Amino acid sequence: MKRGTSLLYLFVPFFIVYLIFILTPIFRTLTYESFSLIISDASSGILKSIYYTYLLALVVSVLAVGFSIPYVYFVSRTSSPVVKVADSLVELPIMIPHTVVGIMMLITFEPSMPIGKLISRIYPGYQFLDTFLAVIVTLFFLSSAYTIRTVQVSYSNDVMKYEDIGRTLGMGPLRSYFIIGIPLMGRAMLGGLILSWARSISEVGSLLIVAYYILPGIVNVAGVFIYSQFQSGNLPGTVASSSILIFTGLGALLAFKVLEVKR
Amino acid sequence: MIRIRNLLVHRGEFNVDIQELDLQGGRNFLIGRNGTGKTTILSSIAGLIGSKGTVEVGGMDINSLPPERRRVGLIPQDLLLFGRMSVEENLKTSIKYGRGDVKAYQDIVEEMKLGPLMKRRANELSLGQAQKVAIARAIVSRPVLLLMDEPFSFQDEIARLGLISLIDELSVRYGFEYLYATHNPRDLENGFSNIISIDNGKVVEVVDSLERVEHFRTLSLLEYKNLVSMDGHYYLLDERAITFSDTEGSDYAVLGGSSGRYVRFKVDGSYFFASLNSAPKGKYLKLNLDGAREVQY
Repeated sequence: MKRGTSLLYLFVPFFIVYLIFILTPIFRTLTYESFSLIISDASSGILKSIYYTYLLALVVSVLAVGFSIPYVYFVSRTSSPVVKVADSLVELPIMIPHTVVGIMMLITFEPSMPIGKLISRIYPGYQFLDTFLAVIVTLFFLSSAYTIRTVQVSYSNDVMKYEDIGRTLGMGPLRSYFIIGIPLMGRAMLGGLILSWARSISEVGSLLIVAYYILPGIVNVAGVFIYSQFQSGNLPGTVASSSILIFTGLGALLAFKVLEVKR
Repeated sequence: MIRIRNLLVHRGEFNVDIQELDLQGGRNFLIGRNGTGKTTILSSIAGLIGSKGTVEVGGMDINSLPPERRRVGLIPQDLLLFGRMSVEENLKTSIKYGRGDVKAYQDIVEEMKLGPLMKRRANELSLGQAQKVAIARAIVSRPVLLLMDEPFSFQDEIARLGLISLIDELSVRYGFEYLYATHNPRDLENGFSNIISIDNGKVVEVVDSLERVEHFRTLSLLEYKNLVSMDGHYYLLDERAITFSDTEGSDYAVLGGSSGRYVRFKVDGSYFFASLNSAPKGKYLKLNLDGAREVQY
């Protein structure tokens, strides 16, 4: 027997139990209703909802990647303890209950609130509640940490030293970061983008408060749409919509993974 | 010439503190055990970590300059070739963005026979090829000082000494000095201008020949035999210091073959080794420290 094989046998049940635990509810959801009901539910508005949800989640995750580029450089290249402490707050939004995040966004950015008032003075006609902006700002607050941390780990563990070599070869800091550093972080950026995107899609709690409907006023993001179906007592429709969301989510994740592997 | 004054580097709890270091001659070897500060010293000279003090290279204080203006090249242990770029792009980095020299690039590619590798991606190279490319990339940038942090340590003896010989030759042709960090004494066999022995972030001693080594810490890096420490004193043993007796002394074991016979013995709970010219005669080993040279720690 190979060394360590007995440990493999010992641990394999944990692997199997975990997989079963994850896959059982997914399988149960996908098989709860007939395939024909799932197909007919596509006309319920869920597809439009998913379209907007994916698009908005993509905008949020692209913004998070863009923001991570200057952020990780500053934090990784600064030794100030104040910056290090401030950086540890990045994960704070993940720890706050999501309904609370919705309320926080509301009392910060609504035009009747002090910061919202300031924004409406700069941009007359500014609205927050039930807008794309509310969705993007709230999801960015909740999901950008995933991208920032993924990119930051890659930068400080692997990329910085390559960039340093670029500088010994005569490159200035900006050139070295953009020509050597950022291309090396491509995989981490894509990984971070996927995480933020997936996290954004799964959000419901905060959006129930700040964006129950989004423009053009009649569309819900997918999570809210399914929640409202459930609230109206339509369990078969709820499950059918959930199945469509799971199928499209799996497809999108698969596409991202293929892209990641190709890189 | 490299001249360092009051160099202070803080890395968390670890500090490098070099009060005075003058290196005449271009072939310099920084020796020290792992974790004694070699990489920190090289990184601070390259300007990659902050430090206080003066670092003069060729008469110019470079310590306030950013890395790209120091003309100090660095080959780290993991080489850090830009893996997604081709070999050609790696070599031309300094030409495109820095002070690289096209003529040097052409000469080095021909001299080091790198032509067939030029279109290959750097992460597809073998270790030996990658090491040559790392040398070439650093030299094309025309440094006045080349720092090397054990870049050939994963190579066998012949390949490693061959690469150091190549560096020697190129340093003469392209007029740069080098500082090579190592903990392998065999790396010195091609000759050297200075050995700088480092321990705990400080210079133990600087010597221009092995005969001038005075410290136990340096000697123990260069040779593990004929050194012993007893009661806080450190000794370099010769033949007269080791005798054998059937009645008293320490247990010992004869090791090595007929060509390189040496004995292992225990003093104050630690093992030491001594080479012998003839077979031991007696059950026990006795140390006669009158015949030993006491050295500094």
